[in-house]
Amino acid sequence: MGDLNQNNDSFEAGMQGMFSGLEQTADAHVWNNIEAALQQKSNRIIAWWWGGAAAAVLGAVLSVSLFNGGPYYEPRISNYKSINDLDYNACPDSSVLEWSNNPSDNTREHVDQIEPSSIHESNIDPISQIAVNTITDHLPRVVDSKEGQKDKVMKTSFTDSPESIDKMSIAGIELAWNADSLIPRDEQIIKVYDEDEIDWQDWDEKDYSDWGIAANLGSSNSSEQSTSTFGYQSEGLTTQDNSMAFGMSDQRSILQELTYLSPFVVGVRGNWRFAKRWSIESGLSYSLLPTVGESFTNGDKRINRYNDHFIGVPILVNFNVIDRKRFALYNSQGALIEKGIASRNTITTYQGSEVESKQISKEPTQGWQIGASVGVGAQYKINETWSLFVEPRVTSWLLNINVQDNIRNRQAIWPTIDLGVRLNLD
Amino acid sequence: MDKQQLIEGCCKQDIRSQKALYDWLHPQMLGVCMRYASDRDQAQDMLQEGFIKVYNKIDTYKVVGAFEGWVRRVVVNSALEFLRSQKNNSNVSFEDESIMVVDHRANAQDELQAQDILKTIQSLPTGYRMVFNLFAIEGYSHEEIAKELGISVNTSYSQYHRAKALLQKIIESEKKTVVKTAV
Repeated sequence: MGDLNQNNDSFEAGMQGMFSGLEQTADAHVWNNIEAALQQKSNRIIAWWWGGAAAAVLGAVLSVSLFNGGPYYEPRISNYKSINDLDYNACPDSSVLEWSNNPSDNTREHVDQIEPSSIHESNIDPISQIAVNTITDHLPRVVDSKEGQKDKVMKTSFTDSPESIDKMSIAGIELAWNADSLIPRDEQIIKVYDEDEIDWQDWDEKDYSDWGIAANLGSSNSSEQSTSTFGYQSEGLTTQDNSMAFGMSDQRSILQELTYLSPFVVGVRGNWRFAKRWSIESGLSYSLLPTVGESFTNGDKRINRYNDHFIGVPILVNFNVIDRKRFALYNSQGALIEKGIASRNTITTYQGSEVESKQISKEPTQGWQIGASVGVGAQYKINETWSLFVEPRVTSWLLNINVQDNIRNRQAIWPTIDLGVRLNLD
Repeated sequence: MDKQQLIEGCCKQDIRSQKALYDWLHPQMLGVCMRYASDRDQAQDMLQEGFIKVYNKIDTYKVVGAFEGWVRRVVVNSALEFLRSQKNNSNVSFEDESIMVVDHRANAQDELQAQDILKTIQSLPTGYRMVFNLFAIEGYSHEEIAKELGISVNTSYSQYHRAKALLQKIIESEKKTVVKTAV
């Protein structure tokens, strides 16, 4: 004690020595208060989890598709208008039809390039028979003309043999084509070729402005017939009036150029650790799959925007390869199951550059999408309850059950990077 | 339960581990708080706040240095925060002021005890008390104290020396009393 007054150093050293061993026992209420505060904190955490909305916001998982590869184009069929009239000139002799878009060009020179034996032009008398031919290919193409110029034709193939192609199918195509074409019906000639003898080349897919397409064709006396043309969703065919000589469908379709936009996915995930390095993860997700369809009719442009909404449940198993106090590196595998809930279709029609009309329709979306998914992730723990993660992942949508056409059944493998906040339940 | 298990248990918010940690370290930490507080009740309040912070921050503890030292730092910081947040001390003065120190020598029958110096420290104005504790006992530099308390280095220096001079005076006076009694 006497050293305390000697000099500066000894004073501080004396003080430190004096108080280093100072201990006192606290009253019992101190621990009780601490315990109550800890319990209160624990209750708050549980309240956060069960709070629903708050947890949903804080636990939002944003999946961003970074490797989408750009818009994905695909023709798609949509109902357009009825056809109630029939007239045609056709020859059912082969599986390929040529359609001219030039009203005055009834004797196109490139036809001469084809072996004469394979060229037919004739009129067909209407007959009463059931035809169920289904169009499997109906695409605009370019054919070399005799002068080396490009000429537009429409290639059409059928599931049935060329011999069985009947006038009703051809007539249907013609009618559908006429609806959009500038070709006066009485000037139109349908030419049928042997497909193998024509030099098809790729067509500029964007130039559809003066081309139409017929789909959902065929004829039947039955009240309803389904076709699956091009593998797209198609409407059932209905013969409403059997007095129509050919039993044609009262619906027709036009070609659209589709752009599938990147899906937007948001959701919540909870993670429960069941072993030292293993954990199960699940939750809820919402997916928006937007598709934009563009079509031209008689110079008018129509833009259809389809927004398909899905609710999903991910079921994932994670394994921590590196597991530190704050940081973890893990792999993740499992299944993603999504159920269609609603669809919104906005149709905007343009007359030139002016919006002519805008229609919005909503309907329930049916079907399921099931995918298998693997990924690796890095996680940073903010605290015991919440952590941030980044998770590159590859998902293959294996099953699309009764689901309307969307980007997930157009592209088999989906690389994405999931970013988010994880709620740790262990 | 060894120390490592205790820490891991606390990280997982295991209440038994938290209680075991409290039982182990709270007497030392209350001793620390007693130096910063003006009385035992206030020290116990500081202890309570300090341990809640320890439990909330324990997952930030890195296995470098003694765990007890880490807990002590958290408790000291909590005590300083407590003093700053006290309504009566919201304007903790670091200005020069006359120090009204309660002389506890009347209670000292034989020799100056740590408890007596402790009571003297507790009777110091809050600002002086914080500076004195941080410099003389925790080993902070005046620069660190100035940064921690938001005061100038000169203020820290002058307050410490005023507090120290006062304590030395009391200690010297006590020594004479002890010698006189012995004679």
